[in-house]
Amino acid sequence: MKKATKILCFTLMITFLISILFMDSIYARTISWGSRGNDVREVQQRLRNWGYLKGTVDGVYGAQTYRAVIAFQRKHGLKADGVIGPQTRRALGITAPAAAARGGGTTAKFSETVRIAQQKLKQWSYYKGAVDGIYGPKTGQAIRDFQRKNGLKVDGVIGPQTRKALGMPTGAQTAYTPTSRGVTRNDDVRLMAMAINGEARGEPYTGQVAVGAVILNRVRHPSFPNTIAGVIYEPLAFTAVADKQIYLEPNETAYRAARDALNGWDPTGGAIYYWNPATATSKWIWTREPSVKIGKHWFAHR
Amino acid sequence: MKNGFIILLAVALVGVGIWGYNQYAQNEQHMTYLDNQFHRMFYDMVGDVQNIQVNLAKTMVTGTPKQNVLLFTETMRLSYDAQEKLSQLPIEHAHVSKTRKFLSQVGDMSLALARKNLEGNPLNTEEMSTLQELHNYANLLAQNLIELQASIAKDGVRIGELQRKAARKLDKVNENMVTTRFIDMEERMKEYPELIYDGPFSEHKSRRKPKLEGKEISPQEIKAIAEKFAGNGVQYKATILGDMNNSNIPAYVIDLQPSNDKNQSSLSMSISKVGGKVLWMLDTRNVEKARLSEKQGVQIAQDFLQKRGFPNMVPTYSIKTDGQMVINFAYQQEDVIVYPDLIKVKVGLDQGSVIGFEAEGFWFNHHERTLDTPKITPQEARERISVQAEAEEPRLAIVPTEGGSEVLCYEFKVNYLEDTFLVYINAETGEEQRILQVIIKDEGVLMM
Repeated sequence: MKKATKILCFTLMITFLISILFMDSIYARTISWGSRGNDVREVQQRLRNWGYLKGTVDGVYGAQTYRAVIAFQRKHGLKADGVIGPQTRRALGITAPAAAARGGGTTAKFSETVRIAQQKLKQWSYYKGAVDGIYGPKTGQAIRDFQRKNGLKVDGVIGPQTRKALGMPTGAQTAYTPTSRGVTRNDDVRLMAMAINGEARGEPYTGQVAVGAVILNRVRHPSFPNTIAGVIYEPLAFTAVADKQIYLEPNETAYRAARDALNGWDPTGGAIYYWNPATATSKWIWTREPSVKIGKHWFAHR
Repeated sequence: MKNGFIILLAVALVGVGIWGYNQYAQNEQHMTYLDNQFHRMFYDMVGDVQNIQVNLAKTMVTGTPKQNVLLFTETMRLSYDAQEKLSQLPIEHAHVSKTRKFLSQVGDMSLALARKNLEGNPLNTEEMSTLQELHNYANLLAQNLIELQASIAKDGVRIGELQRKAARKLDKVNENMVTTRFIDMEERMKEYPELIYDGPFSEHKSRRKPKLEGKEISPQEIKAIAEKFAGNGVQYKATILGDMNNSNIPAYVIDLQPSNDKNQSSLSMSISKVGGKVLWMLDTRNVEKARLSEKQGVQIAQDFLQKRGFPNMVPTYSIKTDGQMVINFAYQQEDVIVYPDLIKVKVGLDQGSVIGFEAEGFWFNHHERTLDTPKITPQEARERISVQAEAEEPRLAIVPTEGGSEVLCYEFKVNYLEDTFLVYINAETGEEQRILQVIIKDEGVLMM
């Protein structure tokens, strides 16, 4: 008899605890296709922040929102059903009571424009509060401060002038060319291959990579120019540049060595000088202390 | 007939004469052009150094961060410009290497201090006194350059003469003057202080000690370590090419020739003295056309790392050229990507074997870090990014700073129209730490 009471009490307590834990999910409604309201807005806002939703935040659960929810659920290993239950909510980082409170229809209204303005104002340290899309007294003060500082009419309204001064997207897009079309690394590879070919043709492969590595170590070293071309074409630096051997068409091995060097292989461990003891003419170079000898070349770090 | 021959000869002579004169004139034109360029560069450089000195002096008296930032960015531009000009003048490296180093370090320090001021931190007394010393050296340099400039202007020594000294034995005294003046400067420059700041070329970066631990290996152990690492059962004949103590990590560089099987290719490798770790490996074999996919390539590289005792490495980037593929791996501690602990593996997609390995960065930086919990939330970090850009969910990453320290950041993959960027927001302060633009080409793949 006593034992049974004990078990009963225990079970009750467990149930109580569990119900507390799941309080959130009991009180937050489940959102699915066709739902409307501020809680939908909040979900859309989160999805948009993380790049899942491309459309507008309008508080209506439509096709776009559905696709975004599915994509989000897939990425997070949740059941991809498009229904926003407790688990999806948690993954989105929405605390249910807050959502419920806001869904309960208070006067505070979410606005995308306000949210963007808050974010901008916060970035330029006019605004210290939360970026929640709700126009409160702090937001109003921040906008007025901004308007005052930028010589605009101080009315606290996010009108066209204020939007423009804040650099907020206006919808009108100017044509934009992707940067990748104007950037290449092939010119570096070719110039390096030319220098390696001119300076170390016929050397062992590792020796060719090492010559490329020395060029790159010089680019990083304060005593030398800061670009690959600057280092290679530096007057009196490389004999292959002075006698035009650099302009010979580099062979396949030189290209491979150039790529390895650019990808970070450095057989010299940071050397900035090398010379061929059989042909070196500079007296000064002999005062360097060689640390590694690959093929005909000696390499030195200082 | 005889007359005709003489006329022909005369015409030929006149022709050669005209050709020769044209050659001479052209040569002269080129020389003058080069001289003018050198003169211009020299004058500009002197101007730059003078302005650097003035700017450094001004920083002594300004108090507002805004003014400081303007001065530092200007100084940075001037010093890099002067360094660049100096490196294009035909003066031998040995005579000006210290001067150039000085110039780029002034530039780096200015950048670091501008950044510090932008973040709202004032300069400390140590930095102030370094600035003062730098100012004094800029002053010394300017003085010497002005003297040199005056003597060039007075005696009409063309800087181009330096280059021509072998061809024409010109006035040796003047020539020596130019070189000696620079040598003289060089020697005094030697005394300038080592700078401690958060910049890319900082001395303390190269003086930083590698994190590698363990006992010193003897040269006799090298062969066994190398063969075990190659892991293909081939017997090699090892030759020590270098015994490096000045390198980033003191190490042996070795060449491995297969001793029995002539079909096997030779390898090069570097093995650290402390701990006997393989820092890099290169297989010299030729690579044929790719037969395997990139996905298989990544798998091969991952298996290789697993077998060599590198668990928890995640691929971050790969690039494929011809039959070979280089894959970058970063160390992962808990959920955090640790970018400084970087290993690159090169796979030959023809036979599916690993033909290159590079882990100098890994062994230099690797240690188990104490991971702080981020002070700001992903949401707050997102608010730092432009409203026009679309950001994906971030992950936490440890990224290196220019000065060699490390910071915990949120890593965002951000799209702006057709361009992709990686934006790093400091997880403690919320500062925008770094922005990298991802250039997506056919052969490169970003793995996130």
